[in-house]
Amino acid sequence: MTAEAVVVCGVGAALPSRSVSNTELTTRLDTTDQWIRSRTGIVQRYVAGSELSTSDLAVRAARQALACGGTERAEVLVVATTTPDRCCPAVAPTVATRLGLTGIPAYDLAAGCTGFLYALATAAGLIAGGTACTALVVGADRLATLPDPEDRATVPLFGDGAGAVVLRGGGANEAGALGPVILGSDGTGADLIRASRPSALRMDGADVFRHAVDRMSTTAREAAAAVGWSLGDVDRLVPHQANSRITSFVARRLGVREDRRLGNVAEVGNTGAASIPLLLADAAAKGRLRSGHRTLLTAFGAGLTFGAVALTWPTLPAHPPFGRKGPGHDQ
Amino acid sequence: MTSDLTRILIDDLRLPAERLTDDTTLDDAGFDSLALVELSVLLGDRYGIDVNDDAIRGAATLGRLDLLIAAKRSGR
Repeated sequence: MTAEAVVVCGVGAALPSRSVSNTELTTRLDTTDQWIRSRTGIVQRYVAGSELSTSDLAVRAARQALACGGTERAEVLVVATTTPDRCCPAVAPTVATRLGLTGIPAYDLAAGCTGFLYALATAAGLIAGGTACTALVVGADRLATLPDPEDRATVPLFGDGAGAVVLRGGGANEAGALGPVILGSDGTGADLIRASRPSALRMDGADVFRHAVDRMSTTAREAAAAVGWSLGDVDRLVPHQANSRITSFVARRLGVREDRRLGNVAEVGNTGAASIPLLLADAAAKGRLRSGHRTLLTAFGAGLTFGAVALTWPTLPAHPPFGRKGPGHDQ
Repeated sequence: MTSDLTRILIDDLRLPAERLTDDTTLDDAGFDSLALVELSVLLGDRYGIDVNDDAIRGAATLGRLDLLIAAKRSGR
């Protein structure tokens, strides 16, 4: 029997242990703390050393999400990433094996910073279609590997990290049930955010800003309407953490009060596909996101890709073991 | 400067009110590159006019920016 709805039942996150402050960046780039803060809202980001791969971060976040959900198993794994450990094979089968889940369907998905929402939609579809009863969805990226190390405009923007959620079949009216995931793409904007290889990211900041606010606000409106909410009903807006000026603009345009906009870009920078689940885990751990909150997720990324989904935040059976510095730090 | 533009600069772009006079240059008012784009998008949202960030930068002072916006709004 197929499920009536797909429900979020666990969340987790992981960050490298090393944080890099704006001040540290000023020792090797011609920039200032004030310049970075005023244009991006970013104060620091976490950067993995060569010993910590995208799949390492994915495994840690996934373990936390499974523990949070009170389970050790999932029947399918989707890893959203644009910075896999290698070109081939995908990281997901390795991640599944390291989680003790050898044998389950496991694959990667690349949709830029919207990757997590794309992965959420495909995993939810597998549950709705009866392929699996439970799913693990991970967003994991090492975006700090993408900029030219000499480029003062893009190096400060990006950090590394991973976030994950566990999904299961459930009832349409229970907390945690996902509304329809609104997704879209626009290949005419493919050149606006592009990296032909690591250390070669190019980004057109002005056009990215325009597209980001347009696409995030449009999809957010559609996702809220799809579950019958007005934007005034939204308790928590969870926008992809690219830049606080973009997310603030989106919230104002939607008419969502500033105190209802969640954000952690100041602490982690732009972590790509990890951004939304990392923020969910962080906000839930800090009590900023609580059971019953009507929560609207929206993202935009390279591709161009964009998406949004609404859900009422569930009561989670266990709290992830977040440390003093935040979610899922390695030791 | 019209109150409409003043309100946008203070409430939306969070620029310091005491600096905002007709003769103030965009740089002195506190505009950075992103603020040019933010204002361009806001003008589209509020008034349905298309003033791109290059045109805003070209206005140079707030007084001339105000005239540019007024001209666009009146369809001139």
